[in-house]
Amino acid sequence: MLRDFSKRKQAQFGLLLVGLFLAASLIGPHVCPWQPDAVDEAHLLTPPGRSHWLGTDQLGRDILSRLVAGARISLLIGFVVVLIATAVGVLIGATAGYFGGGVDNVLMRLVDIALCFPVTFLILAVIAVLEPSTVNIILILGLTGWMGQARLVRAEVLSLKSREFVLLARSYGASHSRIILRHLVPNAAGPVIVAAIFGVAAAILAEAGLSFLGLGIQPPTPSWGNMLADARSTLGVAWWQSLFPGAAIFLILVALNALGEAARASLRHEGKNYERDPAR
Amino acid sequence: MERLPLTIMINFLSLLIIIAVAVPIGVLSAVYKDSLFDKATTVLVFIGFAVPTFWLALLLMDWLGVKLGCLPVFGIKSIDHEYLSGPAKVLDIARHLVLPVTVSTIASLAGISRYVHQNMVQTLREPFVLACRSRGLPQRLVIYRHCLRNALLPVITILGLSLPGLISGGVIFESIFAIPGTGRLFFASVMARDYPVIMAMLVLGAVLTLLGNFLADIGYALADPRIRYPKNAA
Repeated sequence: MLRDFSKRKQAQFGLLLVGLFLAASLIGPHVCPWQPDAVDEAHLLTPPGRSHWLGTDQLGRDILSRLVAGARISLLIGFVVVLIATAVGVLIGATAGYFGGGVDNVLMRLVDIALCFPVTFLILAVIAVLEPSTVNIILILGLTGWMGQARLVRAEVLSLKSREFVLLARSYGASHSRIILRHLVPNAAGPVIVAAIFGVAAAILAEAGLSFLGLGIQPPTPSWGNMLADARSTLGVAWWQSLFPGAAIFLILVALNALGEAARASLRHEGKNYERDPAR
Repeated sequence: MERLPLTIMINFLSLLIIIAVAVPIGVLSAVYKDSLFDKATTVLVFIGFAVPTFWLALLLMDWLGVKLGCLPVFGIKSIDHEYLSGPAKVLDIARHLVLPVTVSTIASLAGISRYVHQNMVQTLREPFVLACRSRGLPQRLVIYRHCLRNALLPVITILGLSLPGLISGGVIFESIFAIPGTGRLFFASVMARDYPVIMAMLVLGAVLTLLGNFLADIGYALADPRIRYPKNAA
């Protein structure tokens, strides 16, 4: 699957862009001449130019530095959220699918209950109870995003658990947890990874939306979302203030969607061989 | 109860537009697969997926609203709305709706046209399509009478799933455009920690979700005879 994946143009494009963002967020803060929250009183709302490549905002803060700092937070949130959501989803889905019966019923009704609230409402309602700190945002997004993964893994496990390799594992005395974690989950990994890639994109978008509303990352910490929120007050005056943070979100989403599409296509491509040699 | 009609109206309008635009795009790009049109729409769909709606809203407000000044950027009525004549009132509201409806349409437009496209591509590969062609049916009949109905079945599910969006969809764009609808009400009550309102709207959202799923199931059975008579389908 990996070989097919790395040959796809979409995958190469996506990896390149995500790599650029990662590099910028890791190296950028040490290279940028301006601190993301340093106020340059002489240069309020300067258009892009020599000293400030992407201009400054209404407080004279350098937009490029803030973008780079925001990239770090956005990527961190995107990946950690998906890690949490995937861990919870895989655990619940695999348990439900493997044991079936009452366990399955209880866990899947749990999924149904979690799914019956509109996601935006659910997230905002939890934020109303908790404070919008970075850790809370990660937890909230992670714990409201696992249901899709759970259903996916359950379906995979249901079709895998009657295969011979599971019977073989049982016959040499493997425990339930070992069968689930070592035999079933790795075999169900493909669709989970695809969903996870799209999940990172969704989490980054959700964080940006929350920060835009003022309910996500709190100023003065820069994030792409709250930079766009700041840009609302200079609409029609400083086009660079709204253009660049949004373009950053747009580019990272394009990159992640390209990666996801490529991974999905590789999975489909691999599907034929997959059936013939399940025990691998 | 003055907020609900507004949000429902906006979402209903954008739903109509989404279906009116996404279905033809999806069908045509599937029928003429690998054509220039297909490639162009694929790129557009990709862009539509990735554009954050609030950024698009800001850009459109900046260009169309502030720079060109041809559209109002916020609210639902002009200040002098009360003094306008009847038709002018309607026109005034319509002008205020252009940007919000456009913005709320874009994301789902991409998703649904993609969905219709994939369904149509799959349907066109079915043996019955070959059978239709071998009987000498013209392309027009093959596609519009035999394939379209199959390819559009999943749209019913989407319609059902979009029911809760009627009240929840617009939290972000309603706050951007300062439209006094339910999304903005929810946002305001979150900011004010107004728990009764939050609870009420969560419950309402959940009820609409369940109702939407239920209606989608029924709609499916009405539209697809294979689901009505499961024994024959096997």
